[in-house]
Amino acid sequence: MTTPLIQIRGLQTGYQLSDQKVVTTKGPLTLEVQRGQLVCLIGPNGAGKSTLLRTIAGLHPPLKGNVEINGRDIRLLSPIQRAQTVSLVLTDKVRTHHLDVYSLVALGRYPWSSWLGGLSDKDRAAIEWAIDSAGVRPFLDRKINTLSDGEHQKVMLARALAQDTPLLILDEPTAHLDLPSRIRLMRLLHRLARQTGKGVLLSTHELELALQVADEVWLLQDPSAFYCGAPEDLVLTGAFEAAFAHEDIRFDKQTGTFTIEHEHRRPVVLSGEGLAAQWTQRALQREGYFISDEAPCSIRVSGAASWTMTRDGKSYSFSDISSLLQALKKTDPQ
Amino acid sequence: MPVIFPKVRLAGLLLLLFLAFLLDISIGSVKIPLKEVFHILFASSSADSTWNFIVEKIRIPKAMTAVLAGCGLSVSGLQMQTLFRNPLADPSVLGITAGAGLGVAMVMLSGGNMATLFAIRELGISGSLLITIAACVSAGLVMILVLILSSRLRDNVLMLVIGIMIGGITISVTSIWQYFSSPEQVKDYLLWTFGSLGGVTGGQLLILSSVIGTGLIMAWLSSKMLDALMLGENYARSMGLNPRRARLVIICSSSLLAGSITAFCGPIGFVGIAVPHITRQLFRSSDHRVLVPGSCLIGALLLLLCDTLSQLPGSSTVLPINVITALAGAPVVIALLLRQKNINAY
Repeated sequence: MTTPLIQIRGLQTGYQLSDQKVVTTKGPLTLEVQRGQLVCLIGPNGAGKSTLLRTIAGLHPPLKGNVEINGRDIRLLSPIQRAQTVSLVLTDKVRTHHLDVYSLVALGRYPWSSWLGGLSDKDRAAIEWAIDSAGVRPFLDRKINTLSDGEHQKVMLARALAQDTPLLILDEPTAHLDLPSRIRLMRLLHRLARQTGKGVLLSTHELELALQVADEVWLLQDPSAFYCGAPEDLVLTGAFEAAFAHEDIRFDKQTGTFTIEHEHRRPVVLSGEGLAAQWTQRALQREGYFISDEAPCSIRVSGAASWTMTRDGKSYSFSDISSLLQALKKTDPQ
Repeated sequence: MPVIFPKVRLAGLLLLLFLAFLLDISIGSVKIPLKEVFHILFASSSADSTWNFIVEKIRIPKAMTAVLAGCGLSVSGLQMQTLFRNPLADPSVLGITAGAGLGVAMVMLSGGNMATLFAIRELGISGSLLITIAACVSAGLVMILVLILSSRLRDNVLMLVIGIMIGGITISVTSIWQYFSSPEQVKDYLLWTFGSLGGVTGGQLLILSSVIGTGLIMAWLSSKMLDALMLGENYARSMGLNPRRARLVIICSSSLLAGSITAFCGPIGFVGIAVPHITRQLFRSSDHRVLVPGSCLIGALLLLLCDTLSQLPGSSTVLPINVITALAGAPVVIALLLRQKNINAY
């Protein structure tokens, strides 16, 4: 049996303030990450995700326990050896003037390049590979401060890839990105893990995306509640629901999505089938209704673009959901 | 990628520097024909032995001091701006310049010491070895204090604040000293603060050039660390940089440069803050292997031109160097601030 890429034993993370010890992950955690795996660390804001990631990356001392990467304790490696083992993509924004994308990606070779930062052929090859893998070639000559958030994130990923480490850790890489960029980045990371055998560990708020790409999910709810497992298992055991439990938010186990719960929900009867009916149901839920068999108001969806509302014996017809909702608000004020 | 481009510019600057050097040594309060200057420079003989003396013993050492001070202050400023990721940082932010000033004030204002006053009168303000030694020792003590503090701190921004605080304390002590001193003594001290490139000759020039040489070599060797620090301390650490060691090397090199120049020439302002900005703008690069030599050349060029200007061609009056550097440096800084849309990113 080969050693796992990351082996965490009895880990407790946190930091030492001058007069008190703040524990962010009580643990003790015992975890493994295999080569080629994509692991998503999920948890509410302020739960200690960044501290855990920084501890695993060896930039922050653990309170207890140890982290081994490729069988070697991360705290015992020299800074250069550590940088040859783990690369990071952080939330920090680089805003230096006159720094072009190529030079920034080339900085990823820092732990490998010569004393003065001279690049060998091997370094250049690694930089070219990183540029193509992260897809930053179209804006290679641009200055870093002219990039959009999505482009910036890709460049920082390229820099981490150029560092050519067996483990890649990303702290909220999808923050500030629009939905298509988020999906593209996650797919890219998933593919990289599969194709190169690198381990990828990232923290994110994108629960729904994580459910689709992660091989394993680490759920950090608060210092004493940590769950890990395949994402589907965490859904079935109710761990997800518990982690994000809140009086107005409900986790739908059927679809793996969160819905906003209204305080005073009213019943409505909905009949009809197909896509139009599904989206009508979502619209009604958004307005604070739940679907029931008995209600003073009933809505019927027929075909793709015809809605009929029946209330107090009167019927009204609509050609889109927007006008249906407006009429509903008038006849049934909250 | 752009490898040839900076080399051409560096070569061009080197040529300009050579021309500025010639210009600087051919202009002065005593008119010496250009032909004779060339004779003295390349054949070290001239029709007039006075001219020979003026060029060899006064003008060449002065021009060389200008080159050394220009190189040192600019590179020190570049290092401070990158280390603290602050476009307004300059060699004085660590308090070492103020430290040198305190040393000078101690000697000049301690008063009553006839030997001191005699030495100052005889050798000229900056020519006094005693003042230079006092400035060196005092700058060195502040530097050691800064290095000790820097090895205890995690954060570069805190280091910046502490450096400025140390500078503040030092300046206050100097002011108290001035307050209780006689007007003549204060005048002597004020003259020193105007800065002077003259009076550094012979052995002193040798000492200054070897200290500056050491500082510049350390700065050149730290260029890889400076590149990494541009991404911020977190990224720099993740790439294998040892932040404390990097800070130690950079502050040590910067202190050697700024401290020795202030000790020998007085506090020369604006070069350290203006030149790194000009260099980045001119080379459009952030690679410190280009910026360090680039700042050296531009700084030396700027200070030689300032020195030439300070001689006020056609008259025998010489303006203090600090007046000229501020006059030339401040508009450049303002122009750059106006050109850069976003000054937060230096």
